[in-house]
Amino acid sequence: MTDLNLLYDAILNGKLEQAVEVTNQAVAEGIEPQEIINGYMIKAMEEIGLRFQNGEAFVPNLLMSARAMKGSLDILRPLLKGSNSVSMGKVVIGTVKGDLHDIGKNLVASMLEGCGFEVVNLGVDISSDKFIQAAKENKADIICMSALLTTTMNYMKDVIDALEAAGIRKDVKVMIGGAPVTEAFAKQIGADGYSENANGAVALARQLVSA
Amino acid sequence: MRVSDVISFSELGLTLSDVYESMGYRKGVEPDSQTTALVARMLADLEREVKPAYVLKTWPGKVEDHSVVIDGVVFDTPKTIGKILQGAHHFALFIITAGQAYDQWADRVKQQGDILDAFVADAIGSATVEKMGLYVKIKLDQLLKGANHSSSFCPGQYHWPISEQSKLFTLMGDDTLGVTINESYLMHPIKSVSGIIGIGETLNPKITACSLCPRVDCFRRNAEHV
Ligand code: B12
Repeated sequence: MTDLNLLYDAILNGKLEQAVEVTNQAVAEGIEPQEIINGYMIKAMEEIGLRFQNGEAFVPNLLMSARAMKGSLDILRPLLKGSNSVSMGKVVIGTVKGDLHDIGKNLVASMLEGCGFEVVNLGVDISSDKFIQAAKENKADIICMSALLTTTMNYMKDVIDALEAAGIRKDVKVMIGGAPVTEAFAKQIGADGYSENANGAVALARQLVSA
Repeated sequence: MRVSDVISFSELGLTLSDVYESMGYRKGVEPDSQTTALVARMLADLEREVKPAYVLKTWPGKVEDHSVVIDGVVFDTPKTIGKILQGAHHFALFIITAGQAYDQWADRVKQQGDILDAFVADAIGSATVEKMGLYVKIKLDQLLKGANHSSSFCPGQYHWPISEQSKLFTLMGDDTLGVTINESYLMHPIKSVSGIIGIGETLNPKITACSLCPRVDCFRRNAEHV
């Protein structure tokens, strides 16, 4: 009988090979994928997230955990029943027009992907047209926008207005972030959510897709 | 006066700790052994291929109202920055870049698809440019033989519109190390920084862009910037 606590440990400690090995064993023994994911994998991601928030873990630890999580998810995904559970949701992400700071945005993308979201990373200096086109093409559940320049963060409002004008605002949730962005700013421009870091972004995205 | 150089990493003196800090570790906190090994390996790899470069040019100039005026070009510097630069009789403009070779290297790393490698590549690039900023400041100190100067201020920082990049690039002319700006005034290669430093007896190098910024808990607050 596979000890799934080893999977929890592997993801928490960012050990990809160990995570894959234990997951394969668990699958061979016929353990329900959903039980593995909810009972152990997501819990491990929550714990590393908590440690990150408390300053006990750092970005590389988050990424190593996300990498291990993704390794296991790739094995489990084809075994999940029903189309809803195949992906947590689809996310289109980019740094808004006028900005090219993308390290934080890429982190958010990696963490979302690691935690089971399908992510379309548009890159930097992205216009509202591009956001809208990508959201439509990919039938995105969430648009994520990042800005680090105070002078360009207002462009996020332009994108939300453009979504409205294109008639698809109600079909897609909007999440924003980046160092100068605040909860108050998110409210003010009519975004659905804000998070100050990549870890919180995952929790927020989960919340938004299940809302 | 104009100085420009392509320098090696050994000359630049980029340390592992510089990279750790750029990755979000607090000063003095050492990453786990797996991460330190990865950073060391990637840095060694990068050092073989990448040569960061800088160009620094000085002009006579002055602050009028709160605008920096150089050679007929009037910068729309915000009041706070104008005030800090008040008293400058010359200005040094600079462009620093990790260069095309860095972008190619980082693209290759990213294409391989490992998220941690990609993050480290990014952090090394940022750390390189920041360290280069310090290097330029030391160069300027040598050139000025102890004369006083301000710290550096960059278009896009602290209410100084990023569109002001176009004026800075106009003044630099062809002397931009191949760095270009696009219609959003962003520089390519991405890992580049531009800025201005006032030169004058009354200027205070301790007043930095960081000290103006309200984000007191920023992870790069008071990092040794340009
Ligand atoms: C690294 C860096 C650079 C690198 C760029 C790296 C890159 N490719 O992105 C370099 C050195 C090249 C650079 C250059 C410039 N920079 Co710069 N840069 C920074 C710095 C130091 C750190 C940014 C960073 O990577 N942080 C680390 C990541 C992990 O954090 P983060 O981006 O905040 O992301 C986290 C959260 O915000 C959140 N998040 C981010 N996005 C999203 C999105 C969503 C949806 C959610 C939910 C969450 C979320 O989660 C992330 C992970 O936890 C900041 C200072 C700062 N403290 O932010 C300045 C800063 C952003 N830069 C600034 C400026 C002005 C510039 C330049 C325009 C300066 C110039 N004239 O040269 C240039 C432009 C370069 C160009 N090519 O045109 C200013 C902006 C000023 C302002 N208030 O508007 C800052 C604040 C520095 C300063 N104090 O003046 N920069």
